[in-house]
Amino acid sequence: MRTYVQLLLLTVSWMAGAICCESQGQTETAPKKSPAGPPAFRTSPLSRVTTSVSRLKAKVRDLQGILDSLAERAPYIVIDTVHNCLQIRQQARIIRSATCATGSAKILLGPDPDDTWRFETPKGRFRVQRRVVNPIWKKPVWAFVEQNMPPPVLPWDFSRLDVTTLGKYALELGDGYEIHGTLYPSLLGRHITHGCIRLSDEDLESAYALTEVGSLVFVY
Amino acid sequence: MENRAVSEPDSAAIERALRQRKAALELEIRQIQTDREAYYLIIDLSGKAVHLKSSANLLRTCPVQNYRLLPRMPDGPMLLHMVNRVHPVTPIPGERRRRLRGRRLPVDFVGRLVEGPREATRLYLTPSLVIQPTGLSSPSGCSHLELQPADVKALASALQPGNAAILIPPMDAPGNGTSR
Repeated sequence: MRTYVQLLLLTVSWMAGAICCESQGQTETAPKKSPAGPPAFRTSPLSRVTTSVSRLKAKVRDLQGILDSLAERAPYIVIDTVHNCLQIRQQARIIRSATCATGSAKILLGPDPDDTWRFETPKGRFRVQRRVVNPIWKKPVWAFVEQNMPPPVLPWDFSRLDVTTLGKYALELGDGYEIHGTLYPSLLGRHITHGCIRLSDEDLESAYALTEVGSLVFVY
Repeated sequence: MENRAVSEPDSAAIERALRQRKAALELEIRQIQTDREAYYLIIDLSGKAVHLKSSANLLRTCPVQNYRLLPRMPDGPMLLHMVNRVHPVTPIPGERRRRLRGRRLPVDFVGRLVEGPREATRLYLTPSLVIQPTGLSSPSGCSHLELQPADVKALASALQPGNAAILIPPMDAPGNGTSR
C-alpha cells in the first residue's frame, strides 16, 4: 500500500514537471511581435542596383564560361586562302604566322569527257586526320594528264610514287588534301597548288610540332 | 548624399553594359548550338572590331574604320544574316581589246577566270546592314560599316549567304563612329 502511494506520488510529480516544461518551451519559441510600423529592414535604391549588378556579373561570368568551354583549348590552324596566310592560334592568341600557297582554282580537262579536275582548296572546318613524317606522294591521274603523259594502268606502279615533293612532314585533312612542304619556296604566297596547302620547311615543322591528330583546321 | 548621387548613374551604366554583354553572349551561344561548324561574325562597335569566328574560336579580327547606324536600330545586340555578296563587274571574256589586271582577254588556259572576292566587294546583311571597304560611296537608307579592303575580301571569302552576324551596338548613343 505504502509502495503504491509512493509510486502514485512520483507519477503525479513527473507529469506535473513535464507540463511545466512544455509550457515554458512554448513560451520561449513564440515569435516576438514586431513593433507596429515599418519592417525592421529596408533596401535603398543603390543597394538594389548593386544586387542587380552582382547578379548580372555572375550571369555574364557563367555565360562566358559556357562559351569558353565550346572553344578549342589546343592550338588550331587558320588558313586565309585569299591572302595565302596561315596562322596557328591558341585561345585567340596567334602563336605563329606563315605564308602559304593554296589552290589555283584552275580546271584541268582530261582526255575522257568525264575527266575534269578543279584545283581549289576547299573551305570549311577540318581536322587533322594523320600526321606523316617523310610522306610519299602517290600521284593521282591528273598529275600525269597535266604532264601530257599517259597515267600508269596499275595503281601500285612505282612511277606514281614521289618521295621528294611533299617535304619532310604532311598533315592530312582528308579527301586527298594535305598541308605539306614545297620544292619551290619562292612560289609561296601565290595561288599555284592543286588544292593542298604548301608551307616552307621551317613553318611546316612548327605546324607539325604544334598540332596533333584531331586538331582543328579552319579554311576560308 | 552626394556620393550616392554620383555613383547611381555609374551603376546604371555598368548595369546596361552588363545586360548588353549578357545578351550578346546568349546570342552567340545560341548561334553555335544552331550550327556548330558555320562561320559567323561578332560586330562589336563598342570595341570597334569585327571578329570572324567559328564555334567560339577566333579566326580573324578586323578593325572597324567607320560606321553609321540608322536611328531605328535597336539598342541591344541583334542577330543578322548575310543575304548576298556583290563583287564588282567582271568584263566579259571575248572582248579582245580589253585587259583585266594586265592580262589580255580571253585567258589562255583551259578553265574559267577566277575572280572571287575582291577588295571592292560589299556584303549585304539583313536587317539593313552593309559591310564594305573604305573608299566606296556610302549606301543610303541602311546602316553600314567600313573595313580595310583586305579584311572585306577575306570576309567575303569566308561567309556564305545565310551565315549569321551578331551586332553589338556602341554604348554611347550617336549612330556614327570613326576609328582613330
